[in-house]
Amino acid sequence: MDNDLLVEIKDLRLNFRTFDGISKVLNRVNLKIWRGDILGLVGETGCGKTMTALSIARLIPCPPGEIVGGEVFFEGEDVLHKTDEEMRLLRAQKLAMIFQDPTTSLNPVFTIGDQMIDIIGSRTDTSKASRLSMLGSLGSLIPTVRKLRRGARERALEMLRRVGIGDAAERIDDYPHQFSGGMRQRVLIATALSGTPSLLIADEPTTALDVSIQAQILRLIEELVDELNLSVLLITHNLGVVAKMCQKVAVMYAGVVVEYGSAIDIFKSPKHPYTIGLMRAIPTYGTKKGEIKGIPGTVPNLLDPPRGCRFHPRCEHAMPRCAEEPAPAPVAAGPDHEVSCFLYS
Amino acid sequence: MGLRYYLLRRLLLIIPVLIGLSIVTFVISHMIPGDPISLAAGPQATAEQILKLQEEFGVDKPLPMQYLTYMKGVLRGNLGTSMMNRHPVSMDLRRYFPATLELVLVSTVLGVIIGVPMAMAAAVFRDRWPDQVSRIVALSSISMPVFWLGMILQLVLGMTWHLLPISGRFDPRVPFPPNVTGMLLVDSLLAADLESFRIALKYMALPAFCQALFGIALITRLLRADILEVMQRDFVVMARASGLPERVILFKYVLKNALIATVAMLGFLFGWQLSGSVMIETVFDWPGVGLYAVKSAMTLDFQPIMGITLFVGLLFTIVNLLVDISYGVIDPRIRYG
Ligand SMILES: Nc1ncnc2c1ncn2[C@@H]1O[C@H](COP(=O)(O)OP(=O)(O)OP(=O)(O)O)[C@@H](O)[C@H]1O
Ligand code: SF4
Ligand SMILES: [Mg+2]
Repeated sequence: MDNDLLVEIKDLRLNFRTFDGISKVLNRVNLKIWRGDILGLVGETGCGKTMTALSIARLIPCPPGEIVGGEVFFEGEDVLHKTDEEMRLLRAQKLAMIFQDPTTSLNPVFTIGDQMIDIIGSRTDTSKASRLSMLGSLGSLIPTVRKLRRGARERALEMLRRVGIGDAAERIDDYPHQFSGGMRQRVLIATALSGTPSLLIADEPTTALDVSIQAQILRLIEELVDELNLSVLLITHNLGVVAKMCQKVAVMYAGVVVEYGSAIDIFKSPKHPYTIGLMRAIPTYGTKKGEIKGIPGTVPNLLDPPRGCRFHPRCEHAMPRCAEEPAPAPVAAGPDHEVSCFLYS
Repeated sequence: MGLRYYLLRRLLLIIPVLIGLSIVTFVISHMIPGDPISLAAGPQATAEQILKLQEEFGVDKPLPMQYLTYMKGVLRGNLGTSMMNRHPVSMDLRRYFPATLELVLVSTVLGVIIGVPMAMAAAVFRDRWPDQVSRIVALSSISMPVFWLGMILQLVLGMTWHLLPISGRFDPRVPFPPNVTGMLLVDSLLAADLESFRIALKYMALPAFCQALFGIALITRLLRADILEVMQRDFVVMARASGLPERVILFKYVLKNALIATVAMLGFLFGWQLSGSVMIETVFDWPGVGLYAVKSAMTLDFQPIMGITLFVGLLFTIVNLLVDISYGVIDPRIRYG
């Protein structure tokens, strides 16, 4: 396998058991993240962006979720077949994740220092990490634990200063509710990047924030990505952000990656009818900038998705075979540009 | 506002609560049909004797007057005198209360140390056998009449298998440990008398277990639901994504959040057990406030009943205050004020 390929998701299929039946949430998802790239993942709400991201960290709740097919590789290693402890270490050491809502992503009853120390400390083996966390500040009574704690606290302070919390030493023992939304997201970024990750997964990192703060946070992420030489999976609804930050783009529709390519290809010569619709829906002047606007029709019900190409009920180019044959497989539409549509095969 | 202001306000609030409580119990205990004076005087009492008793207890005066006289005494720590045994009520309370307090404390602790692990097992192994077992245990301990269960246990463990004593607090053939707190487990430990401790523990076992059942059931169900709810929260996903070990997530990150409601409920549970100890104390002949209350009620001896109610009410309010404070220690978002 190519050493420059950091993440590869192959034909991933994911079902969720619900009261109403089996929801086919991901259907043959294919995705590549190259080292050094920022990959933008876009698509309507509920199309499976978060689930795709979580699958890389093997964090999909099973049950009710069930991976029914496909493979996920991280740095060439098969993620789905690792032991729990190997997986935990991989998350602790190689993966950094930041989530949409910084308010609910921090534990309300522990100080941010306590949480950061635990997380920084979790990058060793389980029993050491547990001892450090469970003892809390009492751990300072044991010399070895005290040394670990002190190191972790130093690292936490350093990261907090790096993300722009100047009075870190005073704020580190505060509780999450004592911070503003933007500050909390900075804390989460500091926490996520306090290790030595090679991949940052950012799932709509600014959606829950004030518009005035969104740009600051995105700039901070960009700076840190540069500085730490990270690859990024950036999930967003904002195509303007994608155009500005990403080298690669993957477009999802109803649990399928319908098109994948360089940002230039996707924006300048989109191939899949859904992508074309998305690009056409980008407002020009007067409306709110960069939001995805509607394409006629509604998102399919994943309990009973359309046969064949899941987009066919809404597609203006739909042919009989689009509904009859099994879903179209990705085909090359250029170098590092793939599209899953019968128009091209 | 700071904790000090909050405390002061809460302490002051106890006063109107107790006044209300005293009025209600006073009215109720004086509305009871039947004549406690003639009961106390006995069947052979003459008219003068009864008159003298009526004067002594002030029952010939109008009710509001009686109440004021009573409350004046209460403020001076005088809870009145029992008509039956002529003891000051406060003296009897001091004698019986430690037994009840000990029973309630032990059963609350039992409720926590059995209920919390059961709740955790049920939540972690949701819908698998530990969950089912804990569900059955909780359900049956709530629905079984506790006096009936108590009697069964007395029959089986006490009379058939001779494993545990079935009534009382202590072996009558053995001298009591020196009285310090009135709680035998504590006193025997203070005297470093392990044999007495063992005896007291054996006498405590059945009543405390029966008393604890309600708390066990309550904690198990409540905490299980809270753990499951907290496990769905975003910060758990975030903790997992950061690579925290599962045991840290469960025992630290989830448990502390989930315990908030349980701690809030402990005060209620404690109060419920205090007043609910009547049943257990009757079944196990446990010489506590509950048994004292039953005996007084049967003779319409209203002074002890009022005293017990006021005392338990005061205790309940204080315990709830303590719980509210400890609540803030667990949950930093709580602002006192
Ligand atoms: N626990 C669950 N049980 C059942 N279905 C679920 C569960 N979690 C997610 N899903 C379904 O999986 C699908 C994909 O969800 P996902 O969160 O990945 O969407 P998304 O693209 O990230 O959407 P958004 O933009 O709103 O974040 C959704 O249709 C959702 O209904
Ligand atoms: S496969 Fe058919 S229905 Fe699907 S996008 Fe292509 S043309 Fe449209
Ligand atoms: Mg999402």
